Amino acid sequence: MKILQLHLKAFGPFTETSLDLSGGEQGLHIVYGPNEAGKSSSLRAITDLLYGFLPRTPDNFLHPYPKLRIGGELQHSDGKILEMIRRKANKKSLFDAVDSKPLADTALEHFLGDVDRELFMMMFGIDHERLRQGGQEIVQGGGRIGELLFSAGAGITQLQSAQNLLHEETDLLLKSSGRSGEILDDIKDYKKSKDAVKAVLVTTDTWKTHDERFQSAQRQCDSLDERIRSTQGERNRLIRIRDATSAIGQWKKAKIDLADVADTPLLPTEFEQNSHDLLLALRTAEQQMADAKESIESLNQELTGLILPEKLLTEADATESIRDKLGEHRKAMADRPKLEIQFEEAENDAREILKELGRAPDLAKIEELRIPNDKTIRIQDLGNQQKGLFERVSASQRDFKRYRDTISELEQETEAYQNLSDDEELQHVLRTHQSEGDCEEQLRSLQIEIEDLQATANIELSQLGLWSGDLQTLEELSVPSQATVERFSDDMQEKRAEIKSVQTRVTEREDEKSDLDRQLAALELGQAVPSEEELTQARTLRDQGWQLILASWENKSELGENAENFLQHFPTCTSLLEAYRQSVDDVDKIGDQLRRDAQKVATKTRIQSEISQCERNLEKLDKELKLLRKESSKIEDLWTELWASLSITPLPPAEMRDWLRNQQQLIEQSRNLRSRRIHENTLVSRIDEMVGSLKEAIRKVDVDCHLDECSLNELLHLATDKIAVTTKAQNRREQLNDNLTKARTDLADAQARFEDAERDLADWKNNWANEMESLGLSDDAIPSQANSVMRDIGRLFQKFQESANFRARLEGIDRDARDFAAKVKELVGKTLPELAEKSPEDAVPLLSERLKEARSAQERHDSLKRQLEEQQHKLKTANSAFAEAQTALGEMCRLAACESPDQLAQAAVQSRRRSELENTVQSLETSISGQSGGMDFNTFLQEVESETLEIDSIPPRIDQLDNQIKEYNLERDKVIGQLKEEKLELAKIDGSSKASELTLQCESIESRLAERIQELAKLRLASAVLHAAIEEYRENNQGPVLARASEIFQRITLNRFSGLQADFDERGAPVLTGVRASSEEKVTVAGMSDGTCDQLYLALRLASLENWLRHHESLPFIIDDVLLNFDDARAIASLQVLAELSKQTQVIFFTHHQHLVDLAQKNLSQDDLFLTPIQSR
Amino acid sequence: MFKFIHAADIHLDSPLKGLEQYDGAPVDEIRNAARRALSNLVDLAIEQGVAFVLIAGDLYDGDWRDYNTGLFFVEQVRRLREADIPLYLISGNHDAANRMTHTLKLPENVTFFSAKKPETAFISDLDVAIHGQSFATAAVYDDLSEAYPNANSGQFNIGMLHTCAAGREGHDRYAPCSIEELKSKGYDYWALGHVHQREVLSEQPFIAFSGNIQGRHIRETDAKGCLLVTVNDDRTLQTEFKPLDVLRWDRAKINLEACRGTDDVLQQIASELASRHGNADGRPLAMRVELTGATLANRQLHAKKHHWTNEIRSLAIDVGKGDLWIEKVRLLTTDPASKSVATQAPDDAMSEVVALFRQIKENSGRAAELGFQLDDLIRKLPAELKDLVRQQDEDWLSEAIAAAEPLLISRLMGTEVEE
Repeated sequence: MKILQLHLKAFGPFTETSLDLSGGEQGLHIVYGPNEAGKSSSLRAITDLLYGFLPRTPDNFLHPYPKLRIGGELQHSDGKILEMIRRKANKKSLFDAVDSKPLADTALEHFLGDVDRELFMMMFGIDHERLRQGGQEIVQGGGRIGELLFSAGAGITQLQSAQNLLHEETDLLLKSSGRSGEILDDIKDYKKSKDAVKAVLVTTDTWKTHDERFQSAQRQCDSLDERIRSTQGERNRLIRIRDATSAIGQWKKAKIDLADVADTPLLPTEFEQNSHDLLLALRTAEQQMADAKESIESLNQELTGLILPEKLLTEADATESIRDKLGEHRKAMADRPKLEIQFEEAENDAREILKELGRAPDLAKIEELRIPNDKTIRIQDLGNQQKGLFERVSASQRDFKRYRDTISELEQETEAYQNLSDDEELQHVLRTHQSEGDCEEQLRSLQIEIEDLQATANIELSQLGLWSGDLQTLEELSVPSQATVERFSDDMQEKRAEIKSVQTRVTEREDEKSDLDRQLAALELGQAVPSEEELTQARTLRDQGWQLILASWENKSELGENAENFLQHFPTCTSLLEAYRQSVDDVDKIGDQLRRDAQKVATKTRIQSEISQCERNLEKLDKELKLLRKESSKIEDLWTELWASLSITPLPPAEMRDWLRNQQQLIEQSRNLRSRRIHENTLVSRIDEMVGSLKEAIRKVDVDCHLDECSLNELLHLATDKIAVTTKAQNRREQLNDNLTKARTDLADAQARFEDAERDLADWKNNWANEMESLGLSDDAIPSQANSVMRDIGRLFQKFQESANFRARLEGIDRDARDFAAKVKELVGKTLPELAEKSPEDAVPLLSERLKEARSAQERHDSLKRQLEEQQHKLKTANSAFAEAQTALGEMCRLAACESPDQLAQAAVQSRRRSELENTVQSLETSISGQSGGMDFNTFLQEVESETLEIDSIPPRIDQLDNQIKEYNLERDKVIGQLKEEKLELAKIDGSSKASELTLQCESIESRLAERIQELAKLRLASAVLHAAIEEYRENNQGPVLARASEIFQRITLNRFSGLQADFDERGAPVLTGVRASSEEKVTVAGMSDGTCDQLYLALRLASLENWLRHHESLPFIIDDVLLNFDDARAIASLQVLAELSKQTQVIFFTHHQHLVDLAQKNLSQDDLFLTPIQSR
Repeated sequence: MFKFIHAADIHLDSPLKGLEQYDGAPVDEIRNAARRALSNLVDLAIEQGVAFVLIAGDLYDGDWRDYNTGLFFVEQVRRLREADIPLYLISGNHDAANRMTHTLKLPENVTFFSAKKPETAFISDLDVAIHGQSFATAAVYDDLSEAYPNANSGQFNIGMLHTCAAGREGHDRYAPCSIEELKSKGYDYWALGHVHQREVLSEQPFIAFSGNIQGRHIRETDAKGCLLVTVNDDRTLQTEFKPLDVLRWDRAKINLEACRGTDDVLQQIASELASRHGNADGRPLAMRVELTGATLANRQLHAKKHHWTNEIRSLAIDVGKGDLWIEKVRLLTTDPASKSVATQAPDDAMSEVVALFRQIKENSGRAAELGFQLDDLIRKLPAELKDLVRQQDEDWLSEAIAAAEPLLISRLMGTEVEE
């Protein structure tokens, strides 16, 4: 088919424009025009003419949809011509040449063959862009022949991406490895949901089982309740009988005993004691009466024999007083001779002193010598002043002379300091420089510091570790922030803490578990528990004991062999009673142990359940631990990654924090070092400046000084020295002036003091002369002479006073001796005249002796009198007690119906027995009534007596019943536990819809899965078909297409390649290669340039098209400027190939490059080439 | 005058099939649909004050084993008992297969007919006789109706029977019977169960399937419920269908011939959804969308089926305001041009593709020859899901082929790029 005319009647920018394409047999039609000439519109117009307008065409900007019109004239290879006009309409869009009659939609079929719109656009259209895509596809596809042919054969430009997309989508559903994919996820979900259903589903059997168990437990529980009730009734009845039987026996016996003593009078409780007390009182009174009478008689006899000296006793006080004074008298007599001697010595001493003073030794005249006290003091004071006065005079004379010498010396020295030089400027310069400190020293220490810092930094840099480089690079290093490191540290620590906490919990659980294991073991190893038999045996033994006790009590008979046997069971017991109590204890103990055993079982169960709880906890903790460890290692990976950019393999954050700190310190040091170096430079220049100014100032003070080689410090010292010399001279001069002034003042003072002293000395001499005269001494007597005279006079008066004292004492002693002798004489005369001849010293001791004897006789007499009175009183009391007791006893005999008091005791015993028996009967009756369970006393009595069970077999029977009840209760508890459990289970089955809801979930997943499976089937089918299609197409077309393509390729590459050749790649797949003309070398598509690939694609397309045209009705091949990137030679070659193609089918070439038109005109035969200019109107 | 309810095929807790969940799907609205439908039945009985309720078999689903389901049923029956409404039950094939039927203790207002022979229950104050027989096993192929007694004269006679009647497509042929046989018994009303599609077999006497009370999958479309029967004093009766379902199923076949692009397609689907949603008596709707017709949009639709399914689902969310569920989207569209392409000889690349698809369609074994297989998938599937891969099923396979062809062609031509 060939397009003869294309009428752009109303389309895009065109109105009533026609393109004549009828030239030649088929013809290469170059349609050309400038940009905006409507080239692309006319391209679209061809497709729209043949296949109708697309729903949304862009070519309606000038003409609205209903007005759009494209006309055309087509010629079939069989010569048929169709003229028609295309409108825009969904159906019936084709009209006849005059646009009035619709043509059948099928009218074009004959002209188009089987080619639909898409196929037409792909196979019969090529533009620059698709040529490029085709070229790229060749490279991407690795030159595989099947795909190349397939792509070129259909004009497909995205075979690769279509294949890839199919693979990706398939893999998304189910990877070819079968290990992942959405379908597998669905299957997993499905299984999970199924399991969930299974977990909540309650089958009929489950329910039935629980229900049956519940019912059966309920029945068991009811039956146990009934059994417990009846057994308890029987037990209570037997307990009543057991408890009452013994009491009834006792009650009966007490009744009989009571009958015997029924007539005995009942006496008050204290009667027996009272009668006993009264008899005792009677006997005591009798004894006391006899004793008293005997004592009175003997006392009277002794009194009669006693004699008393009356006179001596009367003067007893006087006698004692004399005896006391005898000692004093004797002492005075002994002292008297010593006093006389002392008296004489004192008088002699006084007389001697008088003689020394040069006076007569007559003591009577001494009063005239006495000196008053104030006078003595005055003389001593004057004597003391004398020495001081003389010294003052001589000292003031010495001072005067010294000051005069000093003044003359000072005046000489002052002369020397008159001319001194001015150093003010030097001082100023020095002060300024000194205030800046020791600059050279500073410089030196700064230099040392810098060296030190540099060395330290180098060492630390090398010690930093983990990283290497110089200081400056380190400073520029971008390290993670402190906060980041902290965060990692915290995270890691937190994880570690969590792990540790979990581990602790694991340990705790394990401890707990081992503790429980231990408990369990201990429980199982525990001591043997007594058996029921042991209890029964112990009870039998106890009962035996009880019988023995009863027997002994009732019969008072010998206990005999039975008791001996019984006692043998209790070796530690001596009496029957003790043994019986022991037997009762044993029974209780065994019973208690049995009860404890029941608890042990419960304990064991509890421990076992706790152990399994522990194990579950441990498992859970283990999982938790694993998870935590995983998280922890993840954090560590992140940590390593953080440092990776610095090429640092980090240590843990804590250490990296140190590293960071060290790194920071190093940076700090580096900065520090820099600032020091700047400081160093400043210092050096400052020092130079200072040296200059100093030299200048020194020269002003000392012009001759040699300064050229001096350092700053030397200059500073020099200046300091210069200033020191000057200053010292100035100071000395000032000091001299001061001293001179002072010396002159002192000289004047010394002179005044000398005159004063002379005057005072003259006054004193006058006073002293007056006083010496009164002492009998001369004017010039020295003060110590005066003092000696005054001392002697004092001593004289002292001795005189002593002698007077001794005389007075001698006279006192003599007077006392006379008084004593008179008193002794008077007393002896009154009392013992036979001693009158004795001296007072002898008589007084004798008197004292006699008085002592008289006093002893007097005391004895008084004591006897008192004893006598006492005995008489006792006798009287005993008499009255005796009478009283006799009367009381009489009254008691009457009460007890006794003839004599001796019978009273017996009567009391009888009375007590009666009373006791009455009480026993009473209390037994009360006790029995208490056991009767509310029954009338007599009825109960009858019931007990009619009990068929032997009394001895009752207690065992009760124990039996108790055990039975206990067993029933245990069983009942168990059953109730089951009941509760089952009730709970049944309550859980509450009609919930969970299972059905979860099933719905399964259905949902199943639906999704079904959908995905269908999707997978679809994708796999598509892949399979595509693969097969490529192979099929290659097999059918490889030969002719490749041969032709090879030819075209050779031409449009201008013989650079001699052609194309099939080859195999490393996987054995057939690939296409170009054969280089120069070397016969095979070049794979990867080795071709982009342009060559484009040319290869064009060659394949043209060859495929030619191949196709061999079997089909031709269709025009529409080209849109594909030669843009071809050089002129290749463009000409390509145009020539196209011209050849135009022999088989119409070729319409659109371009807006005049230069291509020119090339075509120049190089193609005019028979083939038809130029059609285009310009929209 | 009295009323009663005839219902059947409750299939309590049987799950709704084929509803793939997706974001925005009305999941809550469809939860426990069967339970809520039963609850509606009880509500209706109480509200209408009916004299009794008949359930003609298949209370449970045969292989559903959750005892909770039974308990829920008992709870509903108790509600009836509180309203003094007796319930008459026969078991169907599903019930016979279900152990719950025999285990569950039902309240005393329930009469459960024996499976050994037909029984008759009397309601004396209403002069009503109800005849019925349960299924003894899951598969009963005998005509049970034969043994039913003749009508008691002077009473209103009702027969309850679980049967396929003369046979119904999609239902097992259990207890078959003829309408003539049923009529011959002289009953006033035959309450039939088993067939899920409501159907009146005879007006005089009234013989009907009430259908199930809740559709369970896409093949059970339309309103589902029970028959409310009013019996007049002269023993004439009126029946009225009462919907009980809480979710309805619908298939929307939409012909896209007129659509020239996907915009048109969506627009047309939206309006179809809206109109169908409006007809659902205010119930949530589970809808299958089947797109048919030769349309220019065919390849675009197939190239991105998942995408368009989602588009349609979001349309449903907009239109349905949360109670429209797109069960599935089926693409049955064709290419307008495919006719001409199909006939050409395979000497260009594209027609090679078309030709191969034609071969597969004609001979499904060809697909395997070309290297198509799903064996790896089948190996991964659990036993109960292996049925999802139906390679031997021509329909299943041809649907996949029909989808694969436009998909591949559009990919190769790059049509989808235009989208």
